[in-house]
Amino acid sequence: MPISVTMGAVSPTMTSGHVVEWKVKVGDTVKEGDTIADVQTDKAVMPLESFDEGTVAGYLVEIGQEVAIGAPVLLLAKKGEDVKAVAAGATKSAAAPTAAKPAQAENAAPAPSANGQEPAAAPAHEHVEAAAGGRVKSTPLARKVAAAEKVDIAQVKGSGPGGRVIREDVDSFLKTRTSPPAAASKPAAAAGRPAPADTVVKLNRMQTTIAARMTEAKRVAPDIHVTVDIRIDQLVAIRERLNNSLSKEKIKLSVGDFVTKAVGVALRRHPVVNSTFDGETLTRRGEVNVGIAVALPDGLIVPVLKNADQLGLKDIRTGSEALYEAARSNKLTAAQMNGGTFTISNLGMFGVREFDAILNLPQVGILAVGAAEKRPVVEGDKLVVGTMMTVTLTADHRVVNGADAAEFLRTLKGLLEEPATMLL
Amino acid sequence: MAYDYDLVVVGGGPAGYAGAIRAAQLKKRVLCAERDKLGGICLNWGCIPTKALLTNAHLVELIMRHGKAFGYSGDAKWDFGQMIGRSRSVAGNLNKGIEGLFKKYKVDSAFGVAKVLDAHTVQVGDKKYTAESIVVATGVRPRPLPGAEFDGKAIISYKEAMSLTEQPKSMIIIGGGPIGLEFGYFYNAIGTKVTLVELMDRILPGEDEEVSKALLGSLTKRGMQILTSSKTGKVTKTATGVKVEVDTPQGPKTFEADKLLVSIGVLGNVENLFDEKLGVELFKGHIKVDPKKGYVTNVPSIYAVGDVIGPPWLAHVAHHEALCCVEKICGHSDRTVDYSIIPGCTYTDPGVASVGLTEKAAKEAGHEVRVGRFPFVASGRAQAADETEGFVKLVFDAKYGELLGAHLIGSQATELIAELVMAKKLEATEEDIIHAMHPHPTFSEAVMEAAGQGLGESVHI
Repeated sequence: MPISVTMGAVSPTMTSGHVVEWKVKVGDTVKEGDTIADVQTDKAVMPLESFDEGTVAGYLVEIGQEVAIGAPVLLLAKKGEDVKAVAAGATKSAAAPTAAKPAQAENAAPAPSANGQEPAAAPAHEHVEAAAGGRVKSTPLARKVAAAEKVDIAQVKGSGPGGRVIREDVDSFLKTRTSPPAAASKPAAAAGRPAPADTVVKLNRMQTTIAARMTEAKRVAPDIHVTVDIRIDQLVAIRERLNNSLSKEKIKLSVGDFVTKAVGVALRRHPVVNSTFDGETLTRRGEVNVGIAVALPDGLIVPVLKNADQLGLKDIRTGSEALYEAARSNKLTAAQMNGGTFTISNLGMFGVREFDAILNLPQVGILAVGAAEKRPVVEGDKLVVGTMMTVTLTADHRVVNGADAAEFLRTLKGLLEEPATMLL
Repeated sequence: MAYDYDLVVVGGGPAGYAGAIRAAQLKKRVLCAERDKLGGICLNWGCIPTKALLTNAHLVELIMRHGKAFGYSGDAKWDFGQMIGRSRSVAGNLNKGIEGLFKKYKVDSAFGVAKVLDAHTVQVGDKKYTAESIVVATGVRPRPLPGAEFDGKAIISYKEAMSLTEQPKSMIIIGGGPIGLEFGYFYNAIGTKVTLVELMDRILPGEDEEVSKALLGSLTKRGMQILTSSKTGKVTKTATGVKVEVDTPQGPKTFEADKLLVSIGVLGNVENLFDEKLGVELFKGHIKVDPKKGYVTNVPSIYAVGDVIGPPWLAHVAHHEALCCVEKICGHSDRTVDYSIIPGCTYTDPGVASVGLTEKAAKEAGHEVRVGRFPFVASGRAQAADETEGFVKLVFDAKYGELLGAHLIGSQATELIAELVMAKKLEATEEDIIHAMHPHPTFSEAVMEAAGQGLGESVHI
């Protein structure tokens, strides 16, 4: 019996995904653990690995086709089985479910059929054909643009040599797909200049996930917000000294790195904040893994810095930098995204003084960090200038009491005001 | 109506001979008219013989500049006459090769000056030939400098520069484009004192700025005097050669030399080519054509390809245009040259090669760019060869990693560029270049490393 490789849960919260790019082709030998495809999950593009061995007999889904976790995506012929025979058997069985699927509502975007052909039938037919014929001839750039724009490349007519889909083809496909609405809403503003037309933006998968998770957090978790001001003159001085000595290594510590370090140490001392809660059971987590929220051009992602309490500032800097880079280039691995026990969201670089963050469930705490800035400070009976920073802890009040939150912040404040105490 | 031929091609250069052979392959009866020698400028007076000389210069350089490091301790002597002679014989061999190809494919040839008399008649010498279609590929000739017209003795063009009987002691070159620089490199390497004058603020103004700067440094280090932002003024002939007044940013200066090489561009060979009644449309000394319709002129049976239709005046472009044109005439295909993917090479040492947009042009076109660089000094192969000058610079669109342009300077640059032309043609992205395994140790690894450096993945820099 041939083996079907199924869509695995490569991200913890995904329920479905689609193949962005195949990493193996028909005839390739696949070993256990080999990456067979890049899969777009609700969060990022991740590698999908095979748990079986065999020779690739055919693809069961197309690039861009949404499939649920557990659905077969690739067919492997076992040792001794005839690849062609397996592939022939597969086309029959694969064609049925693909065609029966409600024709890819989000991808199909029925072509504005100029000559009155049945618009619904056409895409479905092409799907079957592509599934049987194997890969779609296309250039790497065309595939990349198609994946980013959520275009099923099998629907794009190729103009390159031998019908290869080139970038220009995808671009013109996108134009025909997105043009109609504007013309219909012409009249309106009779007097004066016509206002720009509304732009309808369909959320991408990541944005949809963010929307759902934010709503979930606000709906499920009664949150409490506790704010504290921290004087960081000492920290600033130490940072400058350390950066001078690190300049040879081209490493530059940020104030945020000190916050990450201090949060790690404080979490170790206040296990209740370093917990996850599923509504019934509270799990005090053994590791202190700090998630760092990273803004992306079209979304938000929280890669995780593992064992932050045990890392030195240098490792925190380089580790965070690596995570930012991976996040921005869409290259985060599952390991870099899972296992967070607490989250930090820093808007200091935008000059924000203070703000509240929304919980990243099932974690019970998230720290919102504002800008480091000079402010008037009362010292004894005198008014002096000090460098201050305001942080706000959002905690899940179902399991974290106000006093727990305040104690955590007192520790954090102490660590940041007297950074040397982190060494204790 | 019965014509003598299906196709008459006027000109036997890289456009003309290629078009003629391709048409013959497609079962057409073809005549190729040539006024001088088959192969045109490229083969007889351009690309090939100059490369023979440049290889010679490189050999001299290897021994004179690098020899000591490699253990050479002799007293090398060089024979200028033999250098020129070898270059001429290379051209001669290839020229015979085209005659052979014409025989093989049954392309007729006629030698003499050609004139297109009407839409279907070409006169070559005193004979007239009729054809259903006419393809004009007459090329270009050097543009003279007003006030310093070519005399073939003291004031010369590339043609004389590659066939001198004696090595000049000194040479002034006007024009810092590929031709001027290649001759400058050659003569400087073999010991002639070279002064090059360029009007623009940098040499190779069409190349990426970083490349121009690097080449300027390399050639200056080798002893060439290069003046940029400098305007050539009065040119006077002297008993021994020429005297040239140059307006430099440092004020007016006067230079004297045995020879003055003028390489400031080209003019289309369109004079006396068409009968006036035909009314073939010209522009700026070139023939106007529609590349989207098989390079047809405003006369439906007359086509033109190659240098005579205008820039970029490159043999490989001419060749491809001729093939597109002929295949269209024969009903075989309907394609045009993709002018966004044209490689350009300058065969100095270090050599320069590029394809696509410069960083500046890419930014001006509205791209958010990501640049990857890799210097040859970090390449093991380059170190082994003692040729570590230069770098690979790749310009990508940051969003999808599309390769927008590639700019190379280095001893192997002109060979390495082909990979990037292919990458661009096949729309390979940054990752494809990084993940395509390049053999170790080679200069070509620098291409892969440059792509990697752009993404911060190169492990060698």
